[in-house]
Amino acid sequence: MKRDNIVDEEKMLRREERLNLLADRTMLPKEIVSGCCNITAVGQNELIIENYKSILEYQPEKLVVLTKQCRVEISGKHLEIVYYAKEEMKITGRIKCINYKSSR
Amino acid sequence: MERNFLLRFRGTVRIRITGSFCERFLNLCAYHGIILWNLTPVEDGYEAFLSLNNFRKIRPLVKKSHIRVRVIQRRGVPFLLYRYRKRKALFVSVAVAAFLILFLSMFIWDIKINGNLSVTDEKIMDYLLNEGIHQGIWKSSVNYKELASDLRQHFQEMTWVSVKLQGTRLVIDLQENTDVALREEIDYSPSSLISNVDGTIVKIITRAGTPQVTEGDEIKKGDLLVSGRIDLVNDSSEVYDHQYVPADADIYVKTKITYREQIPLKQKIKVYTGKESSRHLLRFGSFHIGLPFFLTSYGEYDCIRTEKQLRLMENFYLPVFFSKMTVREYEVQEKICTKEQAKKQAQNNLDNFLKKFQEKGVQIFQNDVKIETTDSICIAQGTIYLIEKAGKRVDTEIEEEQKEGTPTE
Repeated sequence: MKRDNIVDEEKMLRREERLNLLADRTMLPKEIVSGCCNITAVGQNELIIENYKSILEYQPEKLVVLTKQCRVEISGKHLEIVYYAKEEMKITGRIKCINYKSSR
Repeated sequence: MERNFLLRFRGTVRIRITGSFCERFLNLCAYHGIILWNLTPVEDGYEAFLSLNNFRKIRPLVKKSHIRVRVIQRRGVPFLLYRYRKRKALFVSVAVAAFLILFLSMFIWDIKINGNLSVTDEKIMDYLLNEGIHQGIWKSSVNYKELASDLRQHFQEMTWVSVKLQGTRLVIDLQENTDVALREEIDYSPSSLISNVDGTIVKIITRAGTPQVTEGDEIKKGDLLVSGRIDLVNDSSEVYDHQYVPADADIYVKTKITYREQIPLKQKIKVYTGKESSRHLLRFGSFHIGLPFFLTSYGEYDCIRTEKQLRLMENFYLPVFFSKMTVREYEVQEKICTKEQAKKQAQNNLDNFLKKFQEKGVQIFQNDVKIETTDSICIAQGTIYLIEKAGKRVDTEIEEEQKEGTPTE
């Protein structure tokens, strides 16, 4: 079981490298080629997330966003979604940690 | 984005979502392009703003995600209108105001003239008034192209006139030809020159026509100077025909004017006492509104009035005027000046008088003005001889009977 996980992760890594290379060669933005999310953090209390799938969990202390490749866990205090649209969301509050977790 | 004025105008709603699958509802909203903002988690669900338009679309999503939605706040114009729906006077007054602005914008409330130097505003205004153009007429009653060409025709000095409408203001832009040398020669019909002054001819240079006077002749106002009729003479010096031309000549005439000015040594001058009072008035057309004067005990006073026209924007003038009336008290004091001062003043006045002639291009030939002072008065009097250009164009009478001898069909 553990071995399988390691193999999976290696596979993922190799796949991502290949996609990165493809993006470089074709001069296309990486988030379009590989479908990865784009996170822009401004200081400690503003965060813009693009290219996600959905919200999994939302509490004032914790926000979990599902993206194509992984889950992004944002923890902090008084988290507030300033706007939530199909492509982009903006979060304000005291952000302590941005954690990437494998979706599997 | 969320502070959009338009959104405010169309109305926004704050909703509270409760239930077990709130996140699903949020994702459905995002998927269907419904933007939520200021999304905050509360103890049993979430609160978020959304536009009124989008609020009408969320019903199927609510059913799908099995949640409960409660409106907790309404903002924007649609709700305001609904809340004040019973205040009919409010709506009526808004409509009346809009109508009034629309109605008043159909008139001309101000006339502005730009670029005139020698023709005064008053002259142009008088002409416009004669043409029936004044404050308060319908915009559509003015033919701008025709007015521009009429102005150009009436005032020979204008070389270019443009009439346009800016808001409720009629703007007349014009350019004048102030340089006499550059002034266009106009094709005249056969004409003669007659005198417009009394005097003696000093010099006459005829370019076209038959001169009727020579140097040294005394002429009076209305005398014929250069005739536009040229007699055609045959070999036996008989007149067999006439030719009519526009007469053209430079005629210099020596004229005489008498100058007389008295300056009393005792003069009465106004001295303002510094006491003044003012009041503000509101004027609609010829109707005034304002507080009456708290009548002052001023003996003698000047009344100064300044007026300002109310306007909505730069070019939207309204027929409402704010005027300010100021009353300033003065005392009449007698001032006795010395003979030298009076003499100086008389000389100054005379110089100014002569300067005005020189500016017009009139030559001063002789100046016999003498200034004399007595104990009570200073008198400047005498004759000034000027040499000026004379001549006034009139149409020549064409004598038809004279053409008897010409062959006819």
